[in-house]
Amino acid sequence: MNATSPERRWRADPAARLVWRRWGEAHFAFDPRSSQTHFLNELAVELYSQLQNAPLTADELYRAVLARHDIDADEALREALDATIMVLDRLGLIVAT
Amino acid sequence: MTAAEKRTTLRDLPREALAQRLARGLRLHVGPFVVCFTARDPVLAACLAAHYPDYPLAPDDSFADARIALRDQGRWARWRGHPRVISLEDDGNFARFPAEQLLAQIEWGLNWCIAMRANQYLMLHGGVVAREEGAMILPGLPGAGKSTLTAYLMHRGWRLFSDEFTLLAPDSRMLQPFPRLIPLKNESIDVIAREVPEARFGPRIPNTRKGLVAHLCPGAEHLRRMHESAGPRLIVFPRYVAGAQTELSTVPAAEAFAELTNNAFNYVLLGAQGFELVADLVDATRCYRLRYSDLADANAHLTALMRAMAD
Repeated sequence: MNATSPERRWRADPAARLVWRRWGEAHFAFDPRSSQTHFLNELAVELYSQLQNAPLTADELYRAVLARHDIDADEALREALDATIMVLDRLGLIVAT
Repeated sequence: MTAAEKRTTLRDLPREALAQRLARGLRLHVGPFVVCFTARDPVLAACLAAHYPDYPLAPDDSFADARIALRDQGRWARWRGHPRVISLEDDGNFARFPAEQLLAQIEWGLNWCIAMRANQYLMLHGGVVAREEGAMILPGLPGAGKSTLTAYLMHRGWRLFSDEFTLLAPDSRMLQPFPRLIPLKNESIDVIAREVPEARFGPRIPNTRKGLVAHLCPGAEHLRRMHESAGPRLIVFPRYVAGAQTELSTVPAAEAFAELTNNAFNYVLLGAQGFELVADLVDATRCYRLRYSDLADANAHLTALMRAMAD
């Protein structure tokens, strides 16, 4: 099962306790566990925010983003979403349930 | 520290008294820190008297934030040209160097002590100068021209805080002066000697690990005010570009934040507090990038910018 397989559910890691700062569309998140500062784009922040509310699969996240922004299916968005999930996983900000 | 102690500077010590105090540990105020120098060899006394005369003395029993000792050397070793050695708190050999590099090694040793330990401050890698309107931070990687610019500005109406250490107090969010000798390197030495004829230099020290180095001594007025902090107003990322017209361009806050955090002494060590401090600093200031080749013109632009911010 890969990172964005249909069965895998993701949630924001509650242990992260990130500290946030935003300037325009640039978001910075400080992770006290690693002392790393992450630069995140709008999509990453939106996915992270959704996953703070409830565990979701990549498909559910994709549908939630489409619905929230009232847009049609978009292959490029889907690819960006899958890539962003992998980045958030690699940074330790989200975990598989 | 009492007012009387603040007024007594190294210049006021007779030569014999300086030698006696050095033998048991001479303490000087250097910005918010007390530095203890120890040596029996008169070469350190001569060096301090020549290049640190306006630094205030601190009481013998005051806590020393940094300790720098010059090891004794016998006449035979001196005659043979053996390297000199300075040690810090751990009493190990911190640096071995030719005798003529003593001044540079003292300054580098003090840099090391402060960079490693002064974590009561957020320490960014950047010069700081101030006018009545507030302070301007000049961050930059080595070679960006921040020391040269700082050296020029301190002779042209700006108060020297530091050419290298930006010290931000977490509670007050004020910048703390840490005025030191400014080590100019290679071509910068002649540039400042030409542009600032009144500049007071230490000896030219060739063949250091940074090439030719000469130290510029801050004037007594900068040292008299070393305990007066200032609020940050401007962050200017300088870049010397030969032949360039002076150009100031705004830097987006996010970009400034990223650059500052990538060029700090203890940002990671301070954890979330460091993140908040840098972010608040960016929010409290306006950020620019400066390309310059003409120091006087750069000063005119920066002075006008600072004045405009105060209006």
